[in-house]
Amino acid sequence: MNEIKERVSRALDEQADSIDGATLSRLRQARARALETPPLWQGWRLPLALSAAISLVAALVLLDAHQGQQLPEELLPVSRQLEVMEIINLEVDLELVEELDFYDWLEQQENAGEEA
Amino acid sequence: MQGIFYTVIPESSIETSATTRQQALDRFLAGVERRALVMAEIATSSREEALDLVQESMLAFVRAYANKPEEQWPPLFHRVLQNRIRDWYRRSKVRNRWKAWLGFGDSDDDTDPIQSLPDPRRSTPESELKQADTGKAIVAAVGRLPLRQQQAFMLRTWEGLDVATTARVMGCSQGSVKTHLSRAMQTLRLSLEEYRE
Repeated sequence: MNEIKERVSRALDEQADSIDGATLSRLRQARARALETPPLWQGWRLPLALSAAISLVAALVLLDAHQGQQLPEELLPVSRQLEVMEIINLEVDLELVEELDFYDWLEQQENAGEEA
Repeated sequence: MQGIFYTVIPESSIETSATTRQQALDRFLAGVERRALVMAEIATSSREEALDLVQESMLAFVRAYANKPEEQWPPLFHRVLQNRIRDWYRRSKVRNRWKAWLGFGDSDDDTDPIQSLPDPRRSTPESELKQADTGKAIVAAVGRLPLRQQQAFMLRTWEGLDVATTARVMGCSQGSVKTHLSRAMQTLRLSLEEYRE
């Protein structure tokens, strides 16, 4: 079985090493484009979402104060907290959310490795 | 009285850190791009499709995970790439069904789109025997494996990921990884009899 693994790995290595110049150039371009992409936490989406959320919270607080209503301990009623969360969630990358479980697991693996 | 303390990080230090990370990302992607292309090309049988998948994976990876520790990049990148390859297979399956329904192709009633997608290259062992290059024939044999077996084999054997990481990358159990790998090895052993050194 090891012989099969070695032979196939060697063939795959050869395949990777024999990629033509034009394709390699396209890969380099793809890589450059990817590196130009602003990460999720640095792009305009996250700051915009946070700004929107902060503005909404501020507006709701002012509105409540203006109406002379006493704010509950948790600052905002649950329904309004949900509204805020909804706006934030609109801007969160869905794929990132799906991968959170995977990322947690990776961290656990590393922590376990460090402890061992 | 409680106070709030801020640590002021010099702007030049932030820029240096960002540049270093950008260089590390560039090195990482340069190191995996060829192998990623080979994996995607074997799965799709199309260089153009493979290039698109690798590019999409790089974009998604940088966008979502560039801030993660470097040692986590390989499994995260493979997770992104394998998800995209799987999505491509599913889309292909839908396209094939439409083609079959419209009379442009063969009907395929299998329920598992990933396990049962027909080999797009329509290559056969006989046609591969004619290939002068044994290496290409071996790669073609890997391409004939069902997608999940391909993924398990290449991630475990070629990329050297352990069973647990392969399972998480593929989104399945460790038992499934072992099963896929075992089946892949059996099939490859039979396929490669012709090319015994």
